[in-house]
Amino acid sequence: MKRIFRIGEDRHELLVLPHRSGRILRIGANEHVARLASLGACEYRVELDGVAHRAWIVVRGDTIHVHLGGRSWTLETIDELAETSARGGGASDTAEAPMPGTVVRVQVEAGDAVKRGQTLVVIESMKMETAVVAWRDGIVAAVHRPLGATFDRKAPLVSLEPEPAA
Amino acid sequence: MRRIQSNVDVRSDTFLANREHNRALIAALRGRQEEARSRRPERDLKRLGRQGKLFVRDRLALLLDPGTPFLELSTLAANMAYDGEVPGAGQVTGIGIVSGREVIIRADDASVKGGAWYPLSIKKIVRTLDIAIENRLPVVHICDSAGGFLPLQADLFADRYYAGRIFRNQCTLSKMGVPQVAIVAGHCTAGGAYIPALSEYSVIVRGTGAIFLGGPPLVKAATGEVVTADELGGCDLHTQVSGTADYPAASEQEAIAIARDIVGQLARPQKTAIDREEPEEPSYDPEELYGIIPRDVKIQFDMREIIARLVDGSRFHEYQPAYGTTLICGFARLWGYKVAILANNGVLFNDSSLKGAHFMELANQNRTPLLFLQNITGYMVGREYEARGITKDGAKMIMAVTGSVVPKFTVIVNGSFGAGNYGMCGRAFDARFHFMWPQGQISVMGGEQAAGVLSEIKIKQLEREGRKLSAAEVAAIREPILEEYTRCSSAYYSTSELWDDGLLDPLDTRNALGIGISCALNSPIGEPGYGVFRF
Repeated sequence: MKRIFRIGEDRHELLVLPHRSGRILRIGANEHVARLASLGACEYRVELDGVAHRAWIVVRGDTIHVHLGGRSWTLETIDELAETSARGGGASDTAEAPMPGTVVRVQVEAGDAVKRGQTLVVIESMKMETAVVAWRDGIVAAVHRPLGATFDRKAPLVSLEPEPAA
Repeated sequence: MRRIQSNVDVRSDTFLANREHNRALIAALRGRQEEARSRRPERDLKRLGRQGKLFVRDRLALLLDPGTPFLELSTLAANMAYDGEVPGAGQVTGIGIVSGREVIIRADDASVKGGAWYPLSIKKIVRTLDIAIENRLPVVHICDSAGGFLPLQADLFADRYYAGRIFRNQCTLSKMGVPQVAIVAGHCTAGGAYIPALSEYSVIVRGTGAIFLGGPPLVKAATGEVVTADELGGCDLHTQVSGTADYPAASEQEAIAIARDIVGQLARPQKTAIDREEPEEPSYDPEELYGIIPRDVKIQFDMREIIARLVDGSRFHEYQPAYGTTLICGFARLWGYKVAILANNGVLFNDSSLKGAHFMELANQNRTPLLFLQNITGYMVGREYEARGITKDGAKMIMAVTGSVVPKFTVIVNGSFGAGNYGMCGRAFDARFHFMWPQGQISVMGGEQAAGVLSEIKIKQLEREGRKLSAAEVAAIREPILEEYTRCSSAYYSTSELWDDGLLDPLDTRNALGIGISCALNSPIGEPGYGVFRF
């Protein structure tokens, strides 16, 4: 299994492979045999290539805190899928109407800076009020339909300024 | 599986206002549940004391393994019927652990009208035994009932799903090899007498327990014979002479201990093996659900935010994330069990309907239980959508949901309107468990729309008779319709009528579903097969 961690600014990739007792950790071209045994609470006995250490490990969501040999590390677990899709980009700069309806609230205007998740306009259709929210941080380029306007499916509602190329 | 990335701002005004609103709703729900469970007129509790009988809740506490969860079902049944005088429909039902076995319990509540069975009591008992049949759950009955409530006999005796169905279900369970244990802690009169008689094991309490087809007053009226209840159908008669009951007990405490011993020697079921991993708590705090559920049923919200607070590690493998986006489909784990989730994220269009039917087939083929999270205003209407076949695409969903052989679970998270209820495994489609959140609403169409349609018809009719209505007269037609609609579409009405298995605090949903999935795995999963899909 491939695991990716970030420690400080550095990204580390390692492969975890089965071993007759414990695991093999492959980092780049190097292989290590590792064993982990709980000593209760967050205390562990870590054996690396036959050398035993005592470690304290706490896992909070995606963050792992390790105290070993008088030093502390904070590891951030990185989801490979999340990492690759974040690099993907290519998302549209315009929100389109998911269905025919009416604009019932307009909460931004061109030039406004918006945060991901912020409501841009609210539309009503089939008895439901749907908030069209910013799909990323950005600057509003245009609100295409005024308050009270009706629209068809796929009509543009709000555009953000294109993202500067990374 | 990837963690859902929440977009909820937990410091926003909307979130805080929603949270306050929903916490108040949950406090009200808890209050009403508490009343239904334990608030009784003083004289009824005193009468139980005089008769030397325990209150049903105390019986349950003795029966269940201490410290284990009890998933009570339909606590608020009948809360809007019979002037609110029959809390819980006079029945306590739920899933619990007795001597280490998962069982379903059905107990008469003699503090309510002497444990008489009202029409909704019958509905609750039949549903309890349906759950036992579908999930192969052993049943423990605690019997203490005056029999059918005679003034309403026409609504509880003769029809297909009336009282006879209780006994039909008992026989079905027996034939399937699912055992039943009856504790006779009070009278089992008339039809009720068949409950212990049709159970494989029955325990009867000396002095207070009795089983007879006709009680002493009826016997006197019919034949002139004068007998006491104990002589007519008491413990010693039935355990020594007639053989109608199996185990005599000197007290309720002893009877319950015997019942626990009986359950303890039942064979442990072989659970159907499905994909399971070590469970993990959601990584987003489920408390945040209160801030996400809107104050107004009309306000749309992202169902991924709900999923993120129900499933293990908030991890969700979304299937077809870019197609038919108003129906979210995907795999997740709940208490370690793999589940296939269908969750509404807007109106059902042609593409979302096709996606739903397709995803259900996939889940059936890979043996994954289905979880439906409903927030649905219906299938899209309009000429464009009819031309694309919205009706036949909705029919595909209904066909797939009906043909599904994996266990199904439904939670009405918010709105449930129109045929969307059907396509998303509404009550008629045999979900193993069907729950509703207390702010949810359910009806064939929205109240406003119905009031509009119905008052329009009435106005046209009167206009044909040459009458013109003032605004006040129109309102006088509209308002009562709207009021009745609002009343009958509330979650409290739904649960009163047993259209669901109970209202859930959103925070309890994960645990309730975990128990439900565990129960469902007592039954084998058959081979998938469907009717004819209209393509």
